[in-house]
Amino acid sequence: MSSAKANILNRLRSATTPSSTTKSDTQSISTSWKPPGYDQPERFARFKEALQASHAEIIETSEDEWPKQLMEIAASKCIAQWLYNPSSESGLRLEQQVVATTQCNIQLIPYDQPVESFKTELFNQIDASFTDVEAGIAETGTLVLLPDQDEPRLMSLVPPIHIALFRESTLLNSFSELIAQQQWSTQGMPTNALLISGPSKTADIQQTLAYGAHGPKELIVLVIRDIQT
Amino acid sequence: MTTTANMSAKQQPSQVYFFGTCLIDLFYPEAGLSAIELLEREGIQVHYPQAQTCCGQPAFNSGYNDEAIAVAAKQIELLSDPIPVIVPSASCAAMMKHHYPTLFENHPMSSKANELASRVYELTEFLVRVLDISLTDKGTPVKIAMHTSCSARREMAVTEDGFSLIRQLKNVSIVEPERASECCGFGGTFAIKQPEISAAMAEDKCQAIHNTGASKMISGDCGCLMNLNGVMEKTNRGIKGEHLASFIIDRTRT
Amino acid sequence: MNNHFREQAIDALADPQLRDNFRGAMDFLRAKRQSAFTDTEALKQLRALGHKIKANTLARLPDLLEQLEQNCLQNGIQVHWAETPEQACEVIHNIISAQNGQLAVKGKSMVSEEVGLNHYLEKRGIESLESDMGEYIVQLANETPSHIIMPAIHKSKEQIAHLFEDKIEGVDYTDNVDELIGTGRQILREKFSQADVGISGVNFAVAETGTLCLVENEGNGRMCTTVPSTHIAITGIEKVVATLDDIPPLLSLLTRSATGQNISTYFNMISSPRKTGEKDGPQSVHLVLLDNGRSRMYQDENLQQTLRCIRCGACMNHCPVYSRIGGHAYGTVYPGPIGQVVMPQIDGLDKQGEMTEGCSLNGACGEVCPVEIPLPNLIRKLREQKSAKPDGHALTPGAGSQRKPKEAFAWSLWQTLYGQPWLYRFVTKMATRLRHASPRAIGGWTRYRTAPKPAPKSLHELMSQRAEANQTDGASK
Repeated sequence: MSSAKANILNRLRSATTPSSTTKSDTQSISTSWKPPGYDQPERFARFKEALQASHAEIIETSEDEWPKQLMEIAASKCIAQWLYNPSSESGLRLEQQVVATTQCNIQLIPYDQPVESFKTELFNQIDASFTDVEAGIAETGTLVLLPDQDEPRLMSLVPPIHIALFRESTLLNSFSELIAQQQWSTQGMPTNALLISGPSKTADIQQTLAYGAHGPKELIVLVIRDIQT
Repeated sequence: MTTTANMSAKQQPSQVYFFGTCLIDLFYPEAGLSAIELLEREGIQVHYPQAQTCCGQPAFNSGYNDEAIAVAAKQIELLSDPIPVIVPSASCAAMMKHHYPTLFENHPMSSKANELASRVYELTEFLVRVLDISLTDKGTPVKIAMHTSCSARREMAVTEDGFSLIRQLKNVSIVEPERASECCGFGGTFAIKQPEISAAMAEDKCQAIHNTGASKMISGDCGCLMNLNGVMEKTNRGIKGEHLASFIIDRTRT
Repeated sequence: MNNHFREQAIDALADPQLRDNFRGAMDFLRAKRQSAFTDTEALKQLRALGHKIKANTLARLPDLLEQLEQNCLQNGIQVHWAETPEQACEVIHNIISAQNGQLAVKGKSMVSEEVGLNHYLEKRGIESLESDMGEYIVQLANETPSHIIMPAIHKSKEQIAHLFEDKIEGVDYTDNVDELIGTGRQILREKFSQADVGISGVNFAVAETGTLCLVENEGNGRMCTTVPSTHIAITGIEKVVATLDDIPPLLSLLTRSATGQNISTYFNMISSPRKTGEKDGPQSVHLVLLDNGRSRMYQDENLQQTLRCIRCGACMNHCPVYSRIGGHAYGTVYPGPIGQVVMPQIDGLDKQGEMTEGCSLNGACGEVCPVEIPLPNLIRKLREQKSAKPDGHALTPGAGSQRKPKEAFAWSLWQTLYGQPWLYRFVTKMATRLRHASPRAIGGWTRYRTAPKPAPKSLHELMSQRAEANQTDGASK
């Protein structure tokens, strides 16, 4: 098939007009577009509004309170089998909270084996997952997740409820700002980077919105307001 | 805004060409006469070259560029004096203003085509932006449905000019049909080549115009008028479309 | 085989249910787009930027493709090149059969439709299951997508309810959308965990980092590219972009133009297969780069603009013809304005030239295109090539094949008439004099409209009379 490559590239290189900017177009090719920037209080307001518009539930909380709030969510959603990351700080605090809670039926399950041997359990038994969030994007109400060996890709996809812990101090204005901050262009990209803006949804049947098409039906974001306003 | 209008009013040309378009010539001459009367009333000397025929758009849109060039070239030669060319149809105006330059791109007449293009104005655009015309309504109260052609809306971007002219007529209330920006289905040869699709579009447009409850439909393009009036008549809808120039002149004549 | 666009359009126009389904959907999608672009000046700037990014990309296309390949290989993604649909299918089949794969789950990919992948694999005993809800519905009904981003847009929920009842065992009729989606979810989740291979398209392939980007709302794309041990992505060579910085504006244009969303639920950036220690993600990732006529489009300075397309579907959503006849009437993989430009260039003007006639050149498509492709101009250009004289230089296959002697003769007659002012004046004068004898029936025109009748006197005649009167006036004074 390497001849296919050579043929394609040869045809492209033999084009007499390699520039696609034909004369009639050139005038429209000038732009002063910039990604949006927000001031401090406005940034979080925009994030919250956009994420809620995408049907995510936002719970504002504090560094001390969030584990307790997680227990309340678990109780109200009847979460029994809970996928978590035992090697993260937030995973440890969840563990401690579960231990400290009396009359608790919650079973915490780590994603500690390859998906091949974990599929049945993952797809059929888990009620919810709990993950950290790398950053947030205010413009679009987006959570940025960088899955790795401790928080694999499917954690935020397969369980019916995804609960994410987000710190306001990681909130950025735009996707462009994220790309710059992560230095992906120079340092390279992680295996997988995910922008998540709300629970899974579809409008493929007569434009009627339905949630939980394939992924989570619910996305709950615990927000720690760790920025003084 | 006022300053620019005043400035262009100061630079008002004393003479213009009038390019009547082939549809107006044969089917709607009264619209052409009305437009000329409007211009003359503003003190403009209007030249109507008798050798004018068609802008060449039908052949161009059908992909017959050689034929389009042959006919367009005659108009370019004919309209050679450096005075504005006024066209009472956005689609023909767009042909001359926007498509002549590409059509003649590698042609010996390229620079002449570009020069002509720079002098082409759609009628309402010229009345509003160059002449800054004032109208006094002498007619009785009426409700009209405004139909802006796709060329007026998109290629020439003169939608607002048509509206601002009619808004000066105090006794006229304007309504727009639902989905105003959707094509009426004319499209020149499209109506002949795809009569079924064209008719479905025209039928929807006529129904939307009918639903406005207006007693008249006004448009600045005779292609749309011919199409919509044809359907209105065939379906006995009792609304008739009229060219904007005729409507204005009838209501403002002393 | 020649495409029968007009006949299919007539059938579609006569189906009131179909007309309703499309009208509702198009009104919905137009309103959604409008609400996403409230600031017209910002939209103008963003479209200009989208245009610029794609134009700059195309200007460096061969170099960027090589850079993309190099960086993908470095990341562990295997890259394959295919000139034709057959080559693309063969490459994919070879990957699947090398691991004895039986079941492939697919994310939404128009390029996979373009190469006829499902059919190819099924003929070779491999189940190829669509997992996007709309695609799943369409596949269940044995149909093809009628829209590039909303594949089942031609069906009402009642029609889908009947389909599920008929085709899925143990499912009773319900037109409750949540229940219908729940049924699809349940069936497809089972398949995701069983599948050997996941197949997806690509929205943007980033050359500088070797990253494949996927835009979706449902999560089936993430399932397909994460659960099975092999992921095969297929895309057209025009989907490459130079840098990550190009992505945010293009993504914003794409989702807002398509469905009026500021961003899709998921934006999935895949840069390598599963690394040591990672628990999920495919063991191997393949990228298939498809040409299928694109490098030929690239040779024509006008038609090259086709390759700017980011497949948002806004052109069809705003097309008054598509809105009335729907996607299937075009009889091609890509329908609507972009289909009218792409398909004749891929399949040839001899096969798909006729569909360029299904356009009133009203310009609505070009007005909304997020990368400013002048679609009406390109449709006009293809009409020109379709009926070009045999000595033409057009590169598009089938150029000149649709030149009909009768039509060419009619236009030369037209040229004679409108090119000779004296003849024109004579003929129009005759027409006004014989106005009562003017034809009552003019083909399709008068089937739906009354015939236009020439005026008693043409404008030429009225103006020359006026000039004469003025002269006599002047003389008598």
